Amino acid sequence: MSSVPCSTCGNPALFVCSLCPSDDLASAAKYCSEACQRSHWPTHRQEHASATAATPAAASPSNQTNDYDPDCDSTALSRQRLQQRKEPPKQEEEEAAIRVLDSDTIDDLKYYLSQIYSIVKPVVACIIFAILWVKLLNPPSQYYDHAYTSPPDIYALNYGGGNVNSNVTNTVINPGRETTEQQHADLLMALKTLGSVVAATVVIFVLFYFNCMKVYSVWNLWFHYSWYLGLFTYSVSVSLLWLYLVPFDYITFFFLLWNFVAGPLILQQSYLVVMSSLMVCFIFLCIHVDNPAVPPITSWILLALLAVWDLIAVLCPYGPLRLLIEASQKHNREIPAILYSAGPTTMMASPDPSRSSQGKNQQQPNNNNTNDNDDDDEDGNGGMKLALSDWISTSSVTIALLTGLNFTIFLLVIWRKALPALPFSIAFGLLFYFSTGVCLVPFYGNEARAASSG
Amino acid sequence: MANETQDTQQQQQQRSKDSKDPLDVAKPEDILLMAKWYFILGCAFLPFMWLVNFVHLYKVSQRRKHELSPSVSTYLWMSLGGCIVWSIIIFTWLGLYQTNRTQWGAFGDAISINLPLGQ
Repeated sequence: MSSVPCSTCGNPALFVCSLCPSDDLASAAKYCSEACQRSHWPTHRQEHASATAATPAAASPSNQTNDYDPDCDSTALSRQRLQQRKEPPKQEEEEAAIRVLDSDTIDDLKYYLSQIYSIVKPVVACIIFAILWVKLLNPPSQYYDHAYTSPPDIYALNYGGGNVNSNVTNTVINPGRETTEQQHADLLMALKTLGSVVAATVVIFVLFYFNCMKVYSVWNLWFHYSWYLGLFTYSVSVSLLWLYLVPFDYITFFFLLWNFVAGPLILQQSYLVVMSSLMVCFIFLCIHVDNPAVPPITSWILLALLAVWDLIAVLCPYGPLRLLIEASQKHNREIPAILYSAGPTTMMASPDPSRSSQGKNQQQPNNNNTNDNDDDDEDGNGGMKLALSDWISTSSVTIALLTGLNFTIFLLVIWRKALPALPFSIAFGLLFYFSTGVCLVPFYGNEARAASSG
Repeated sequence: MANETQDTQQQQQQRSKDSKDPLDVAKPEDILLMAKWYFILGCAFLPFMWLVNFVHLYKVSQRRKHELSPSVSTYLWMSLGGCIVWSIIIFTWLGLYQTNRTQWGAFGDAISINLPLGQ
């Protein structure tokens, strides 16, 4: 009686992998039990790489194994019993909708989990930066010692120098932002921003599809990118300078700006982080720079629009981002990693068939648009509650963001499709924000009153 | 002496295979190109670029001294020198500006971005 060893443990094998070609039994994988087949599957599946089977092929206790144990009727009987025992569980498993138990899905999960860590780091760094900028630029009103003059209007871009004789040091347009025209203008700005994001996505897709990536070459991208970065840095820095009463001259300012922007774009990663945070801040600034108590309707609208756009772009069959992914998979062309660092145009997470480190770059341009606008509304609530509610809302928003991100990645593994990264994060962030607003703030109000009266 | 250089070369090759730093496995021509390009770019009023050039490539140039061409070091030291010169210029100018801004009258205001109240 010749006993063939199991490929995994070396015990006498009773089953053959049903995917292995049946005419070449010598090289087929043989197993003594289903457990051994499961554990051998991760390595063995590479031999069946062309097959799209996600489940390990049913071990077939077929006629072939008769060749190995022709003499033993008892083993034939036990094989029968084994066979019967094995069929039903296999069918149940295959019918189960969740395929999480499959070993390659587990592998994917592990891989994505390990990537989550590398993704979470820059996301957290970006959040911290954004919070930093926002806090610096929007201190509680009692710290404004020049609160009676309005801060510089970013749109006017009309600073200093000129009117030394006038009473207003910096020329300003419409400080109040309360007239309906101004609100319309804000809304228009939000729409314009969204429009530019949409347009950029479409352009990139078109260029990629027609294989004109040479046209949209590194040079162009660099230029486009540094323009954004420069603009945001300019606005943020000017506000900072104004706020902290630091005099600065144009020469040095533009020199430093030029260095900051044009220089180390090579170190893309950290710059993406900084730039995303700046962009968040820019959006925040454009929309309600003067009056912290005014609810930033336009930033909500922008958030909502971005989430909707993200959903459309990724999930709908003709959405540009989805088409992009499909085109890349079809032509087997790698989307250049530079594309994924093209700032605000890519807001999606997609399963990474080639498992390269592109996954890291993909998710950075990120979720950070979402929710650092949120924690600022707490500022208007007065100095005493400021620190605590601030911290709570900030941390809860951060947690919400990260939860959304993890959730998205988890779904990625299960659905194996390109997914929009924003909506979940936005949803979670809003949920947390409103819930803390509803639950915690009145609580603090009571406490504060009790503390001040008691 | 020949044995020593051979040993260090072997060590280096071993190290370049082991290390994860992409600079270690890059070809010498590539590193030279990088140093040169960063240097040229930095000539466009970008001393920060020079600084980055120096910091980024200095250790590698020391580690792989034998393989890389000597002009890499030249570029690096020139970048560092240029960066220092620029820094001196900038700080001098800043000092001048900050102290003398109010005395320069209209010219001082014209080149200012913002005018703090009461100063």
